[in-house]
Amino acid sequence: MAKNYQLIMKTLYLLLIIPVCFLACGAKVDLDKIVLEFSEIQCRAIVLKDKRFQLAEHLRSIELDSIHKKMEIDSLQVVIDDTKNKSLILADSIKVKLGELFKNTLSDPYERKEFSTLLEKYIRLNGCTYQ
Amino acid sequence: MDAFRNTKIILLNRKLSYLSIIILLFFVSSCTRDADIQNSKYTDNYKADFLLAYYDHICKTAKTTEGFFPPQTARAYGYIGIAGYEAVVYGIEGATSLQNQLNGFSSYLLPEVVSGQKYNWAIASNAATARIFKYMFDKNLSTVNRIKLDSIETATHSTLSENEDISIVTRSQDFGYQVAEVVYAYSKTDGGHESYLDPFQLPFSVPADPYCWVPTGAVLTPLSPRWGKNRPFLLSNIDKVQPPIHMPFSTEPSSEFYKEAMVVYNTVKNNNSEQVEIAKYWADDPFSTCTPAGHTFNILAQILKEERATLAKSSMAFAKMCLAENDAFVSCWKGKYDYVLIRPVSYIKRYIDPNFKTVIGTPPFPAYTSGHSCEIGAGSRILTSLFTNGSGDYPFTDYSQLQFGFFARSYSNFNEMADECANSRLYGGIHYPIDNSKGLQVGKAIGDNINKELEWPRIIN
Repeated sequence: MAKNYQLIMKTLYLLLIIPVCFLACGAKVDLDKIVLEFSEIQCRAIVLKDKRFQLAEHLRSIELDSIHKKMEIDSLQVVIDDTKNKSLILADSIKVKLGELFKNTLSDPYERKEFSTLLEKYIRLNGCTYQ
Repeated sequence: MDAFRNTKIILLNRKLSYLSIIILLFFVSSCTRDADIQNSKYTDNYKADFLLAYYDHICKTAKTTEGFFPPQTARAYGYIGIAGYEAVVYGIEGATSLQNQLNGFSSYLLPEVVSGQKYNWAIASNAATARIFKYMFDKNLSTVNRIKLDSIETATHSTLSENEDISIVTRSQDFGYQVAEVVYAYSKTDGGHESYLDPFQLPFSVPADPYCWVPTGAVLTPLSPRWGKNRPFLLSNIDKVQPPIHMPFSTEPSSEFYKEAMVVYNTVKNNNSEQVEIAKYWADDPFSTCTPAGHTFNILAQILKEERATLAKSSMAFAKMCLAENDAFVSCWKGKYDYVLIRPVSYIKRYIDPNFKTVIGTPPFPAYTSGHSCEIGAGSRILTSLFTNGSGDYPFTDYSQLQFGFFARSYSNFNEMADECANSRLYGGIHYPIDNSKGLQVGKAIGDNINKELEWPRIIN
């Protein structure tokens, strides 16, 4: 009788624990997948951001050096405008993607924070290869 | 006889009771702001999604519209916030119009609601926000931005009008447009009207004293030198919060001034990668920024979204922030041109190290006090009043810069966020420590004035 009771309890325990494990593991895998997917677009944004700051730095150095200033600034301005436009278009895409992600998948603030922490860790570890 | 007297007393008491009930009913009805519009749904019954979409678009528009520097952008936000609030104020319990509370606003008469008629406050808000938005960017508004703005207005109007009586729709929309017209008329007299057409307010000459600002790049004249003369929304934000005079200018290595410059020099030389990241994060990007005020609005919008704030709370929140940010820039710019203080980069190159380079570009206006510190100080006080019990404790992650290639940053308190923003100007090498500390102080006082001097509804979701 006691053995039967133990068996029933073990079965019930297993029946309870399996879905919990499944859900927990499933959620973890999903977050990794989301981070991996998002890191691609985020890397593009990081590369563009670095480029914007480099261009700004370059512009400042040219502005201080008066020789050939006008011509060089004009040609640099073309690159700046192009980078700025690309950045704004990409920013829109990221904003939409992030909005959907937060609305549909990561509705909990803790999940969102975990996502952004993992994203940062992943990109810092792997770097951005997009050019 | 006694029985007759008792009956008479009872009848008299009854009459008095009826009379007091009638008097009570009269007082109750006159105590409610407008009994007739009680039939309209309260503002907190509406979602704020469309309002958040407008604020997102203000940021994008400021980024891509010529002439919108920090003061001009803060001003545009300012009037958009007032119009949005005034369009819904009748639908917020315990709320009072800003008409008789803001400096110079009482002479511009806002429309009154029609007695006995119903309103849809979301439709009114949509109309008011769209129209004032258009006016604020008017002559420089690009076709792309105009189309986007129109599409937000049309889509929102169409959604909100579904299942709504046509007369209510028209009345509410007209009310919103009228509010926008009055707020726009008010804006025209503040000194900043269409300032985006001439943001540098030329001609202007800076005194040639050694303590005075000199160009730090290609821009040879400082930005908006007369902005400090603009009309603030609260006079106290100019009169009572101006910073004290900074330490005396000196080139002596033992002087306070030289030491302040040395702090900047040493900080930039020894910045770690985290500090460089912070400097860039709050610099709000070269070529692509909706200015520091825009960053603070993005944070507010994100929190309102996370909190699922109603139209009532969102309208009030934006109004508070709009007023605070506008006044922060007016007040800060007054100080900047009262003192016209030389930037650290110019001082350091002259007296300490000619090869000194800042981490980020120095903007073209005087140092004292820091605009970023003023605006974030004001913003932090507004956020504190909106989402905390006064402590400022509010754990949150700012995702607003993710789209521009930054990692999200987390804070546990709004003061912590404000301190980081202020310090970012030191890490960037563009402000003395005193610019930041006094700027924060001024900004916080402005935020407090907006919270305390104006009458805001107490309990609001």
